[in-house]
Amino acid sequence: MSPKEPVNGSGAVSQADEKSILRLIVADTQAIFRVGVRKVLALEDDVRVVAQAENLGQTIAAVAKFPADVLLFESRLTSNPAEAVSEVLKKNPDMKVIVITGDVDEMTTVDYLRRGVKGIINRAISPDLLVRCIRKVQGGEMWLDNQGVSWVIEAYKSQATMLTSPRPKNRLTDKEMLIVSCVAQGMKNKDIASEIGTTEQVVKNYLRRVYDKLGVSDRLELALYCVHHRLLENAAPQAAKPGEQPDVQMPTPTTRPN
Amino acid sequence: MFHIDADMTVGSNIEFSISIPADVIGAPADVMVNGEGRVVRCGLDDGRKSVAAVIDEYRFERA
Repeated sequence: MSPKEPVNGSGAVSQADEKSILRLIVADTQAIFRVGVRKVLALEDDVRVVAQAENLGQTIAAVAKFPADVLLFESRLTSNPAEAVSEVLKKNPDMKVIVITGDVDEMTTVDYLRRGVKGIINRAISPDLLVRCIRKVQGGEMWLDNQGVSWVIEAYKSQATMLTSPRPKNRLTDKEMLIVSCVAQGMKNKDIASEIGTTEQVVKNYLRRVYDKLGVSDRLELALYCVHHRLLENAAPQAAKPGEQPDVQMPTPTTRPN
Repeated sequence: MFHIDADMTVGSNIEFSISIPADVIGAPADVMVNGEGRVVRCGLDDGRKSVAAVIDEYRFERA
């Protein structure tokens, strides 16, 4: 089934007027909701519903076929609406997407916004608020309720904390920290295994996980990571002064043949 | 990558030594890492001679 064509445009519109027209696509599983939105927007002279869609396929086809400024997109159109938003925006990156949802949680809200959604509204939104939302979003603003704003701020704060945290040591378990400490002290796997009462293979497994977590590739990188990120600070009773670096003796050319 | 005053050429072999302070890693004594490598790139960085090298081999030397 192809996307349904318009809609509530009536009469001739001049070219100048055409430019100021806000073009909208309504994508919602329920015909009654689409009709309701059209009726509400029919009262707005400068808003035109250019297409309707009742499933994801129709929505994507409509976005590709009809240039639109705003897409009203119901989250129930697909089992993965966030992914669908990304797909839709690939077709028309300039289009503003407003997600219509019944219920939304923190993770989903943040995911929508990261993917480019400009507004999230509840199905129970009043007609006048819906019109305001569409106009604000078209004007470049975001539309979220207070809870959504709080979630976004929290997500931003968490991300900032993660990025500025000098030591991501909370990502390592106690056992992993112990093994890292042993490596930084120059102990071999066999010695570490003996120290913590396990086998060499288990130590290797732990180390592989540590390398993955910290993004290092060998023992030297791990040791230097510990120094630069002060990973073992609590393991050192007399912590070094801030900024203390390992003493590096400058490389010297050798006569070893290539 | 490191800065150095001496002239070095790409392909030349180097030896290096890093001393990791004991108190930074919670060890009873400083840990030495000695190794060898090869110069792969030379250039200027902010007016200083900079050298990029790959590490071919290294050893932790415990006190």
